[in-house]
Amino acid sequence: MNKEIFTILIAEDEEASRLLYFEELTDEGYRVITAENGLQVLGALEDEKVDLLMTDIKMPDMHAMEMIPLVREGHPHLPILVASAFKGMEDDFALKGFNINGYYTKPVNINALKIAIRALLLEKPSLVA
Amino acid sequence: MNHLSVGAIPTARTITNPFAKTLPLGNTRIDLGKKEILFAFRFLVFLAVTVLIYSKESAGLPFFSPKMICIWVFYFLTIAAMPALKPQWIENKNLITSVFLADTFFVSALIYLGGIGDVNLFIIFFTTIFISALSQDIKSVFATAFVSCSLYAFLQLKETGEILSTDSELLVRFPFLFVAASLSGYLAMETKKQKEAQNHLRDMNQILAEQADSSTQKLMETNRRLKSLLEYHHCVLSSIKTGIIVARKDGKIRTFNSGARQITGMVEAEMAECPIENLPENLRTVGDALRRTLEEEKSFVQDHLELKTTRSELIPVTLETSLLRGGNGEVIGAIATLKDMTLLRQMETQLLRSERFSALGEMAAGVAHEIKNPLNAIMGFSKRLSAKLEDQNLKKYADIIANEVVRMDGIVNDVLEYSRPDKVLKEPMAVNPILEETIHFLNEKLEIAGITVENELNPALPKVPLDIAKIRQVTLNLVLNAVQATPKGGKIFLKTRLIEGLVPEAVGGKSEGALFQQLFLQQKMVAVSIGDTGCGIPKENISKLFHPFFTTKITGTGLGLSICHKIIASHGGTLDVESELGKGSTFTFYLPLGEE
Repeated sequence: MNKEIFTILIAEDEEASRLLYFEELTDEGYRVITAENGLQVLGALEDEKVDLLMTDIKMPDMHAMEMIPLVREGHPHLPILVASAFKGMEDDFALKGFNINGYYTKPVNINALKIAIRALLLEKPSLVA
Repeated sequence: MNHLSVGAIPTARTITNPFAKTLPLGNTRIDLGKKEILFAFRFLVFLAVTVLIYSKESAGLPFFSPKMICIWVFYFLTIAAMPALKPQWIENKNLITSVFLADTFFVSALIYLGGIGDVNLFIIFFTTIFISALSQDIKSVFATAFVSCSLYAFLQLKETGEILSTDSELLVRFPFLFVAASLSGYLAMETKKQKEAQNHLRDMNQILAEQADSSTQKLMETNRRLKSLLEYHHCVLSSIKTGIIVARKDGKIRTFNSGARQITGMVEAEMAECPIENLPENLRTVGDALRRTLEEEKSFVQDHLELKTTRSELIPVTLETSLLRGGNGEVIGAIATLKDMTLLRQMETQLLRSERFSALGEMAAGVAHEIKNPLNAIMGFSKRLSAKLEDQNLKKYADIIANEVVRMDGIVNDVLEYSRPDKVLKEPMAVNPILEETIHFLNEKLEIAGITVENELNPALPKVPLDIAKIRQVTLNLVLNAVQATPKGGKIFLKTRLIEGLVPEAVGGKSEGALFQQLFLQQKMVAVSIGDTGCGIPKENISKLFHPFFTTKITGTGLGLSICHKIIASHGGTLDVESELGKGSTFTFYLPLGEE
């Protein structure tokens, strides 16, 4: 399996976390692009072919809840992982009809995250990261 | 007084009148007596004259001559008619006087016609005069005496031819007749006066008796009303929850109701008539307030007062005094009311606690979220370092950083757990299995700690609407706390029971609107107690126990009990603690059954 095929977009406003995800996922062999806010996410999705979006719940310009519907307009089948702020947040997203493919919590368990990403990209979705 | 009411006398008499029995018997009897006496005397005179004339050989008309018989018959009829006379006619002086005068004439006529003038006639006249005394009227007696004298004189004249000639006896007899008339008249009048006085006395007695009778009845009625009023007042006083202590103006306790007994533990019997200054030590404040109220004639209010009960408990009370005024507005005493403020103070504390909690929670949540991001990077990079480092020592350092971040994350999660908006998904569940599960889950831990568990679970408990995950979290937390507090060989007690209606102990340790709701709805509740034989909680810590971040454990976050409290509150229940230092603590939470 050639991991170079897959491009992962990471949306994270915290520089340290962004760097962590970038390095860990790059080490895994993915092509990783990063965004610091919602607008950059939307821009990157326009410009690049993205296979998976991993986003923080809150960014300086918009909340994930605002951003995801905009993303879904152009990419209804894009796998999306969202950082969950607290237990039960998943229910909130589900209740609002968002098609979210998985969640991860902070501080993130990198290994579990990697497994989840791989499963999503190979279309074997696992909801827990 | 109306004579007709005589018949009513006996009832009156039986109740009150000791004189009534000695009274002369009623008007009718006396009049009849008079009538009878009169009748008897007249008949006697009639007989005497008849016998006199009949027994005398005289020059007059023969005994059975028509003239004589006419007078006899007429005279006899007037006598025979006597019993038919109405009593009030006897009282008629004119009638009676005429009867006497007529008698005098009859007698004189018979003597004259019978021709027995030589007999000592004046004796007959004396008799008529005495009879006339029965009229009890001196005028009537004198009239009779005068007529008697005249007729006597006339008869003498006829007999001897002259009135004042030879017989000096005659001259003596006239004044003698008048003396007799005066004397008998006077006696008769006195008798009459006495009788009148007696009658008056009897009437007065009767009036008195009747008045006494009606006043007795009134008194009994008033008594009855007074008794029921007293009873009513007593019921009001003893039913009211507020303590009421009343001191009279002389400074002695007059009233000490059951409310006061409940608050102070003192008994009414001990307090009654106790002078204010001799009140027991714990009621000194009340005594002082009563004294000041009496002295200064002013009301006082003392808030935030604490009374020590006979069981040496301190009870927060509000003491209020007011002047007790009589019907005319004069001061007759002072009233002290004691309101048990325990419940209110508890509610205030709860409210304050919840307000502080929610403010703290909001702040903590904000901080926790901000901490999560740096933690994310620290943990991620320390693990990355650990994976890349060859040096075992350096690797160990990186792992320590990662592990400490895990600990920090635990704290932050507690804070978030505590502060995040509650989503309680309630379903009717049995409580006992949750406790059993908890114990089962902690079995190993309990065995290691050498702690035995004693269950007292009510098998008949109804299901309670609850969020099983959250309640499990509470029981786990409470049992873990108990385990940590209990030394080896100690015990943990689990107890469940059903509480119906408002139970004072169930009201403590409660927050927000749920408390008020529970107070006023008086729901049925299930109480779950988790006790231990551990070290107990110092009194000064009990109030801080549910504060977030309050902990006495070296590794605790101080959020465990706060979270429990919050979870129970979100179920509309309360979490309470009782603790005795060195003996152990018992945490009890109450879950309302809600609408059935």
